Amino acid sequence: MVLTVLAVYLALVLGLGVFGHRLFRGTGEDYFLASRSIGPFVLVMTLLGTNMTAYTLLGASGESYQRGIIVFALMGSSTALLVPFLIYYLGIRAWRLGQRHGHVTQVQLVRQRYGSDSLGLLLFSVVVALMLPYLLIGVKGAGDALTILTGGAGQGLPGWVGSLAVCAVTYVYVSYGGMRSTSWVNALQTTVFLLFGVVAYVAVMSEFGGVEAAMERLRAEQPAMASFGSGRFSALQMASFLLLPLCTGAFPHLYSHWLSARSAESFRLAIVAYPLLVAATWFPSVTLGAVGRLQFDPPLDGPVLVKLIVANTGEVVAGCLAAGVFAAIMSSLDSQILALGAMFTQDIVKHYGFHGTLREDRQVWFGRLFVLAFLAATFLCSLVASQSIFALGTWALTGFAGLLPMLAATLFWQRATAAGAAASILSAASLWTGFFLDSLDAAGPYSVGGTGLMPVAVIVPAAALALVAGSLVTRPASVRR
Amino acid sequence: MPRSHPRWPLLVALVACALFQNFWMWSEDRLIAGLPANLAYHLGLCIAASGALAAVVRWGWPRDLGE
Repeated sequence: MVLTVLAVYLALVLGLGVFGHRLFRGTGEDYFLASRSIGPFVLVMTLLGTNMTAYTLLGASGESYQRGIIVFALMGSSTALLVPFLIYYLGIRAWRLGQRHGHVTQVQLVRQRYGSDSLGLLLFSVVVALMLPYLLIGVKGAGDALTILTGGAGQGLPGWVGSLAVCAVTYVYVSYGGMRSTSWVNALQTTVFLLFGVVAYVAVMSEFGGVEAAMERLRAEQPAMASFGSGRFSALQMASFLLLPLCTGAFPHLYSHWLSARSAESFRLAIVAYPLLVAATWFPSVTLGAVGRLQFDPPLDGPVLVKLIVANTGEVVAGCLAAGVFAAIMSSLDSQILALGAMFTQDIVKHYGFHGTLREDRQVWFGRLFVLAFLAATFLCSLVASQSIFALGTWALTGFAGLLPMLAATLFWQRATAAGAAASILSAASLWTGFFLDSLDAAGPYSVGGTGLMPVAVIVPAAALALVAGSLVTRPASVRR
Repeated sequence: MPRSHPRWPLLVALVACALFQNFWMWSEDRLIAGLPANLAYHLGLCIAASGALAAVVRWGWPRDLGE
């Protein structure tokens, strides 16, 4: 039944993706940005879907099972509060400049703003390096999820089946329909995992006698799970968690979606609805994870959400969970792959190979070629990658957050210079590397010097400081806005 | 480079970040509306943020968007 529900869902995704191709205009801008035609509803759903991964369903419930309901604040409400302001400031500004100058990628913005090819290449290298582990997480996560949902290691389907299914389906609709199909499919996938959250929440909570009864039991039997004051987190840690969602402002795939908006007006709905949709996504996942503590004692041999659903509901809901997990994975993977395809086509092939001029149909074919190459490479890497890749994925978010001061200054600070921007990127990259190497020797969750402070809380201010200092000691080039 | 965004929404963002730090009620273990008090607080904060952002897009919409 799990496989039937999943097959129906994947067929629906393919159908919608192929349908999106009917409106394809055959140009590079249409392939990578849907001719900047995406309206408010699809924009908000695709921004949410792109930002939510399998972690939101399986990882967050697992964290909540370990740490309690504080996970909602650490990862859910921090995202809900910060990301809409990033869309308001950076998204609208990037859209406006993209519209005016025809940008398709962040690197084009940076090159045009600072008139520096080497700065563009530096940003390109850092972004690509940070994206690769992030892609791998999605593909490997799909394989692991399908194995668990079909019976677990040894009995369920092998991991490569789920990974291959995700890569194949994503390839067909991204390659065929580009950004338009990606955005439409993302809107569907976001709806699916929001609906799955509601179905799973109602089905499991009713087995516990309702939400209030479940929470009352949790408070009585596992008080540390129902409170923030269990002593496992400090206010300093809480403050540093608030900085992690800054990574969203530097994601190249989010940037592409911003540029695909039909008008600035399209952002209004996204800004207002984002906190509510994030809360609606994280709330069921976190509360179910915490309630899982009432039914299963640690350590668990698998994701708590899967165990809760298998133990308390039928196979149809388990199938819906599989569809929800695949939806969360594909709604990020498709945008990431398309953004990488856009970067390699626009920033490398077109810029260096054809001196900025490349026929529209060739841009599309290069884009498709890169999408295929990245998906194939990611799938092959997922066959040999170890579980430690998931930790590296979390580090990638910290790296992206470190790029935010430079990108924000590029959009808003006239005095910023190429040297300041380079200093910002290099300081973020050096600190990130230092902390990452240091973390390899750490036992348990890493914090800076054991203080509880996450590396992001050092990297972002340092990158901002380097930007300001580097810019103030160098002369700005003439700025064309 | 003309200033397109008004400044006051930045203040709204800072207030939201300050309200995020509810360590003063971390030890609260009551249920509010059937949910642990801290969870209810953060859920309420998300809803309030949406309301504040509605005000931002209504009265703080950037100028000079070229539309």
